[in-house]
Amino acid sequence: MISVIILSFLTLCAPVSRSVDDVTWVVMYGEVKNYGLAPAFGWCSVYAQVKGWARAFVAWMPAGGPSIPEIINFYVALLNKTLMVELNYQNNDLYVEGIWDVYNVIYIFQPGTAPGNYTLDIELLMDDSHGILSVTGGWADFNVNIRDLDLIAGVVKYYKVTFGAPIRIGDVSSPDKGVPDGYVNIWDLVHTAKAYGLRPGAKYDFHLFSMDFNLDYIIDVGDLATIGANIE
Amino acid sequence: MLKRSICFLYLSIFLLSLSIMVISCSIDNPPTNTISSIAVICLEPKTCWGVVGQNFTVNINISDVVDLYGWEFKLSWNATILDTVEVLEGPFLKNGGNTYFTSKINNTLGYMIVDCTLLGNVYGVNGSGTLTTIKFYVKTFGECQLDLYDTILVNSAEQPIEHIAIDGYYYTLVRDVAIIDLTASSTCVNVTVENQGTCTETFNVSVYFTRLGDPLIGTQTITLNKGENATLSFIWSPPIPGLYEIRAEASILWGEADTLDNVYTIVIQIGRSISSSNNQYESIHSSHYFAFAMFILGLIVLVPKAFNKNGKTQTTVIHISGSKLLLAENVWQHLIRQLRNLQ
Repeated sequence: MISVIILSFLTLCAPVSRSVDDVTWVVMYGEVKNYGLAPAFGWCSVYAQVKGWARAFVAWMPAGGPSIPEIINFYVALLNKTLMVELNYQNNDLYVEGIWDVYNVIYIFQPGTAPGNYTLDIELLMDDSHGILSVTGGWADFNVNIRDLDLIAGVVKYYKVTFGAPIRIGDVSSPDKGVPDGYVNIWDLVHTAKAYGLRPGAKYDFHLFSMDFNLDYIIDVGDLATIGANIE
Repeated sequence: MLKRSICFLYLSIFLLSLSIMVISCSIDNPPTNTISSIAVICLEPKTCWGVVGQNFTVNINISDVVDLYGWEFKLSWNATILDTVEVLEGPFLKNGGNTYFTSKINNTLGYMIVDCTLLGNVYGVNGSGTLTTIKFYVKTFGECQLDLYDTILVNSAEQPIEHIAIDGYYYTLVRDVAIIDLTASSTCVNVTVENQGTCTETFNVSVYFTRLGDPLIGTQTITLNKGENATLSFIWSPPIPGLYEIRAEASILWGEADTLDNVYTIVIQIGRSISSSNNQYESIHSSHYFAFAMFILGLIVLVPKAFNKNGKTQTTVIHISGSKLLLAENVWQHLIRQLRNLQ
């Protein structure tokens, strides 16, 4: 009788303790290489709680560059609703399924003026499109497949999977410049501070999106504060 | 012969070229100083002290740094002794332009993480200066290491700067002076003072009597080393015979831990003695003695243990709430006579 009670108690307790301890967190940065069959520049970033939610975006520009030097435009797809986040799902190392919005981002620089003088225009191209971001090849490659868009493909530059405590946002560098090391500290702060005032994507420098934590298209004090809040 | 001349010419040209190369190399690579200075990050002052209930500040300084773009340090302390009140950015990195400064303080575990970086694509700062000023609050007595660890200096190329970090040390200053004894006669008051703190103190010692409305007998300034004591003599002339309260006061030091023992009080009788022939004051009205006898009678009821059981007259000291009541031998003799007369 006692053993039955103990077994019942353990059965009730076990899922609770597992659900607390086994939260899995994922971070992935990648570089866009292709848009459809054409080469492209760009950046992809994912931060997710497995079986929970995800923050993901991909910014890309077809190779060839802008036809007018003073006007630079590229595309940004932003996950606005997560349907599924899984690790090791259907031969994918990471699988993120959800509803995406796609924007056309346009910087217009005033000729002959400092780079700071610009206008930023963001126009919505696609609203609520179903899409899947998948990482394959042992965390080597990623694909973003959004309905009515060509396939966006690239290579993984960095990823991290942890259990329990959430991954701290802001790990973008280390003594090995520009390579995350799993810790948020002065290396990340300095790396981001060096890019202070720059506009991600404006000069093909899409990697700057890794430091634009609030995705406001400028590396500013808000991004430094994000790192500052997560320094450990 | 022509061949030998040509050979000699070639040899001369070769030697000349060699000389020019050696000279140019020595110009391109001037002799460097083999003793290169290394940056040092340290607390200033290295040993600091504070007083319970007060704040004190300490700087984190850097010296001999080249191209400093960003820095980080962690500092730990004993959280039962100190709390961090505030962490302010120092002026050093601002010499290079705008900065971003952030700090995290954990007063429960006793550590902080402080970071600062220049902004934009600028060159770092050279030289020496203050990175941070930290204000601590002293919660209690004690001493602890101010451990500077995980220090990182980064240059404008995002490369580490070699350096050394030097810890600091903190101790709580105990400031405590006390009057440990007080004796008085009709001509002199002797005050024994002691420095019970941890550092040398200079303070005033003042002596009063109460009969004429707290007139000051005198004040002397004394300097005592840690643990030292001294007896000061104050010459006085009581205006008339009577019962005097003598009070000695050591001035209260800033941040002094224990101020209760800075005041010492005794009561002394100045006047005619039956047994003593050299007493200066003979004409004391008997009513004074009677009033005094009533006072002493009250004390006998309240503090019976203060009396010697064999009935001998003696100098008796009664401690009441830290004050000392000193009754001279002749006072007791007068008291007993008055009591006999009453009977």
